[in-house]
Amino acid sequence: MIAFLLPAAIGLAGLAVAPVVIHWLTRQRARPLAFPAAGLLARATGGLARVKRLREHIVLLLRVLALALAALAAAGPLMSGFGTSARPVAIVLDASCSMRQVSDGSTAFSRGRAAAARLAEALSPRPLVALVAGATTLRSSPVLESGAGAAKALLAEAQPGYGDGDLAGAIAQAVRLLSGSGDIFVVSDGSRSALSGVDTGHLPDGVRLHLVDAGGGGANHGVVSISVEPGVAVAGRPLLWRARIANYSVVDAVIPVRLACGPASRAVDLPVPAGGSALVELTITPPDAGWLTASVEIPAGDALVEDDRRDAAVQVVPALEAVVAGDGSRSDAAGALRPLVAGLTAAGFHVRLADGAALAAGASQGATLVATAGLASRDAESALAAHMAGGGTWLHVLVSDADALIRPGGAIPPTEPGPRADLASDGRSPLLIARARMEHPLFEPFAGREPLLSEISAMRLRLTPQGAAGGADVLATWADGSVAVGERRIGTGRWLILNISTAGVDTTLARSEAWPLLCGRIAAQCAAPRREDAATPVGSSILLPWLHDPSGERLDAHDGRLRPDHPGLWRGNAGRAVAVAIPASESDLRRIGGVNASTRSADDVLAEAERRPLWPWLLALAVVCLIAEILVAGAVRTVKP
Amino acid sequence: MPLSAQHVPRLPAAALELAARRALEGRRGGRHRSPFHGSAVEFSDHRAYQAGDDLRHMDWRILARRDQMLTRRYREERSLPVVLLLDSSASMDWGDPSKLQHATICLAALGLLALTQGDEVRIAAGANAVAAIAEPLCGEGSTSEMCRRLAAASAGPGDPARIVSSCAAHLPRRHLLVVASDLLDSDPAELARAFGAAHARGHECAVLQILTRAEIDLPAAWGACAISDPEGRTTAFACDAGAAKRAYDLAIRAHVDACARACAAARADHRLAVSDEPAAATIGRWLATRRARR
Repeated sequence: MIAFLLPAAIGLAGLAVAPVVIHWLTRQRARPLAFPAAGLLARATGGLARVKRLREHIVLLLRVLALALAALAAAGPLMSGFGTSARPVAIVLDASCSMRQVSDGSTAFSRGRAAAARLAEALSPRPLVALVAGATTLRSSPVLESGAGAAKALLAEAQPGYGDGDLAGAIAQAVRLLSGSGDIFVVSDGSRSALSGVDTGHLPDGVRLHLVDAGGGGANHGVVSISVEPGVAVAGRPLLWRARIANYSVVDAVIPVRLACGPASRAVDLPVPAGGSALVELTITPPDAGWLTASVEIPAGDALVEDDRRDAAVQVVPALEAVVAGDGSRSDAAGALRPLVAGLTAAGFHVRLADGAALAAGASQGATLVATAGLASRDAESALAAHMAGGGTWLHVLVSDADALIRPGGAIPPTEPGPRADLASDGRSPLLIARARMEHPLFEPFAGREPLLSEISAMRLRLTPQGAAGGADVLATWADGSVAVGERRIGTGRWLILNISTAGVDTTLARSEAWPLLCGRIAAQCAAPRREDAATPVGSSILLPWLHDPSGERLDAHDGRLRPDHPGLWRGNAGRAVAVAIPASESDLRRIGGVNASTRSADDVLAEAERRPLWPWLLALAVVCLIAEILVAGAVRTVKP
Repeated sequence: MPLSAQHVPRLPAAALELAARRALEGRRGGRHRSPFHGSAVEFSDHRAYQAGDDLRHMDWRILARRDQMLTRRYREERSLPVVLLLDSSASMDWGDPSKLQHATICLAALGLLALTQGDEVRIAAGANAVAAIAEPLCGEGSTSEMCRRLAAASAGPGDPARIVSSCAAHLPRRHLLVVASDLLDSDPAELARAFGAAHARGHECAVLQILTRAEIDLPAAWGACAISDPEGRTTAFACDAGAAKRAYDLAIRAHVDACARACAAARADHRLAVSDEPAAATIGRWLATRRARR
């Protein structure tokens, strides 16, 4: 069977009559002429004229053929032929949460699995491998087997997950398995999130990607996030729950929403524009510390039910926790820690004291601020990195040269260590703050009171930090140009470097009015203003030894990490709650578009994958006809009697 | 076509002579050899004396030496009997000037030369050439009549070979048959047979093949033409002028050569003439050539 990529181009074949028309219009018209030797002339030229006429007809035929073949080639003809290729095949089945969408009484996953099985059956003569891109794992049949038995078995037992399904990773794995040559059939629902991250333009030349449609794309409403504000819930302080409801359909909708948190709840009919989202808010004041949960529900009945309820959980702390840690003599009551503790306590922090070893052992758990001064070793680097990765702030007070060498998680410090200074005999030289970025929120209280800052003096270290590094901000500098205060964002956390020893013998800071103001600003800034989603995506790694899923089944950690594989409110020890939710992107079931990412049915894709392009041959034939036409036409012009 | 004696070029009789290569049978005395014996100066042979022979022709020397009575015979010189055969078929009436005009003037010039020499001239022209052969014309005073007869030749189909055959059979005595034709429709083999038969009857044949310049050298500019002969019989379509010209030029040369070979085989004289040349020059060169061959 022959199909065409551009059937409209077949109309160009009408141009093939052009040579006939031109020939008819420009043909030599005989003029009557009497000539006594006409008989002789007829006898002499009769054979010649017949040969010439025959050649002219051949030339005409070749021109018509060349044009017709070129027009047909432009239409891109493809010839079908199953099982004629030996190219290896990889079948990737999307097992993401969006494949759970229901339409026509069946899920997209069941249809996709059937389509994948049909592909495996049809392509079984070829070396074949199957991959199932699930939420947490990528499962693969044995590599490139003939007969496809293992692949079909894998597909038969595959189940949809609740995650986003790493199709990009699955395709990359398929490319590796195919060793750079073969066909990859991706069976998915064609939702917008399905191929996010897949760059179809950067596949190897020998690999062809075929997108097989499993059906779907129905209208869907879903709860896509629940945020809390502020980011750290403190007992006795107001907490704002904010749920985002998305309407992934083509019409505006009024969606009934119920947001509940403990005894408090709110039910609203929320108008949501087509393709947009709207927010539902609920403010509560948690009376006590502990774990606080919330849930948002919308009525089920759309294509995907998994996103119609979303749980959230936050820990309510009695107060903002700060851990102040230091080693050695400078961390004693007369050293640098005392002003720190005093200042942070005055700013509202509940301060716990620790040393470097305790910090390394997890003393920073639950703290929003970790302040260190005079750490003797780098043992606490991992704990500090985890603290900042969790959105916490590290107030890094440089008391000694050892402090300047700490690299949490190998991160680049906000400031570069300066060259070793040649200090006075006592190892110190006093400096004054010369310049500060007064527009920065940290220095807001000093607006109009700049002398409070400029009067601060300090003894410099041998390794006084120099300029900013890695995109960090320098907030204040000493008179010699070295950094006094610097800042760097680490994920959602913050690394605040204070190159001013708070020890009384080193600086006038702790005695000045500036210190309480500065601590107050640090307290205001170190806690995240908002936590965008109080739920963990399915498949995320959680540093807990075990959890019970919503049905009470226990999930133990492997290698110290837990990966919850379905949504709901999971519980741990001491009432700890972990809300697990499907990725927000899975709610968007709208179909992908564009030529390079359009999906087709399994039969269509299979037929095209097995089709052989005919147009190169037609083009070659057209060229041959053209060459033959030139040769024969030349012979006509130079014919010898 | 009106033709008057004034239009007929007069050839210099002193320099040019219309003569036959063989003895022909003129009815009147003249200056050409004849098969007849009579009172003349040119000795022919002896024969046995018969009673009644004129004693003046007795060869007394042989009688004295051998005692044998022989009578001396002399070849009689008579006029040259010329038949001018004009092919007046439709194909001759083509060209500017037409081949028929040129042939008529050529034959008229030849006839005038013959009349001037005192020879007898017959005209056979038109569709019924043989039937049109009338009494011979003699003397320069017959020039006008000769021109009238030539100009009165009616057009019609005519095959030179058949006309020559008919004339040769019809004429009671040996004649010089001068044919003016284009020979385009003639089969060289037929020509050879006809001239051969005429030669066998004692006639001498000469052919003046007249063609136009275009027939000898086909104009290349003709290109695609639906060509028919003046008799409307054949149509050729030459779609490639160059190739057609090359093919035709070869063919016409081959045909003329074949006609010349056929004439030579039948001991007939053949001369190709182009119609745009002056008739006097054509005839003059031809006669000069004949005299050189004699």
